[in-house]
Amino acid sequence: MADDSREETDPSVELMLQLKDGKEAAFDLLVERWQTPLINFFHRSLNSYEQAEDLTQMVFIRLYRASASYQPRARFSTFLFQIARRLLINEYRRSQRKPLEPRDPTELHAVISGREDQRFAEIEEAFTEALKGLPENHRTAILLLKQQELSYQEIAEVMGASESAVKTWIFRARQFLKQELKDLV
Amino acid sequence: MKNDRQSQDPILDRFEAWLGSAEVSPPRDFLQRVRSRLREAPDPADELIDELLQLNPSMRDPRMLARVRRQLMEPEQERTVRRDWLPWLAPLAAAATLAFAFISFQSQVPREWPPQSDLQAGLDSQASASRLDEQTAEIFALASNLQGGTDLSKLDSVEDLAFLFD
Repeated sequence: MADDSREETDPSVELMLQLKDGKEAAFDLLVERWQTPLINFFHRSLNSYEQAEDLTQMVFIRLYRASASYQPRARFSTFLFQIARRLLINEYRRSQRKPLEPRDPTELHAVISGREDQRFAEIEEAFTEALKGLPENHRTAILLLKQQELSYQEIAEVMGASESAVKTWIFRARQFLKQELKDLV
Repeated sequence: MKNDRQSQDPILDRFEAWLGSAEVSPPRDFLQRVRSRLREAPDPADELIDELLQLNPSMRDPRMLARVRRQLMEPEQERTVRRDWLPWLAPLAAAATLAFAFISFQSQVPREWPPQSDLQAGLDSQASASRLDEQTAEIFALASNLQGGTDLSKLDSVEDLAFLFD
């Protein structure tokens, strides 16, 4: 739960409250602010640009429709990534397949444009494979920690788990990743 | 960064830096795409499932989600037919249950009342004894007639018949 001072300093909460009051321009600013973090979160999770864009759009649609009943109970990022994670889990179940698939070559230019280094490509491939090997909750937890820079408490709120459970997931994820990536050194 | 603890493992640090890098960007007309999609009809199934999940975040059982989704996707007509049958099926099911309970109760009566069985056996035994007494009295009478003038006051039991033939 966020305290009042925190809510006051979270500009996205302010924008959401403005949207609740019918100020449509606030929605545009929210999209502007959060589209890149969200599409990268989904892209790392699903390794598909198309799916990542689709889910990012869905998050904003849910956000817009939730604005009428919005109450600033937590940091905006917590609220946003709760929606994102629900959509992600639905997507995993809907597709009935492993979350990460071999890349579509047409997406590669958008993903690694400007990277000629073969060694870097190999390392990136290994990173992708290592991330693919993690269970969904470990992967999401470490992405929220390292990519979205959420605190353990915020991750716990997003994932509906205890803070200690989140710490355990991240510890296990790191152990697994160390093991998987040791040959790259 | 709130959780910028270094792992003391160079490759893991590099991995986490890779995780944190903004690798892709949304298309330039992303906002227009979202606005356009907002104008489209809502997906009631997704929204209802989402509301359900919001009410109870622990409901993440995939089977439950699949059932809810299937129920929501089911054609309205089929659901109406099912609802029409329900008022008929409910009393039939109740009657069947009662009938089954009655038959079950009936079939268990002998096992349920063992004392009654003993009582019945006792009554049968008394009737049998009564018939035996009548036969014994007849034997005594015949014996008395055979011996003539015998003192029948000594006949207290079947064993006493022996003296008649001494």
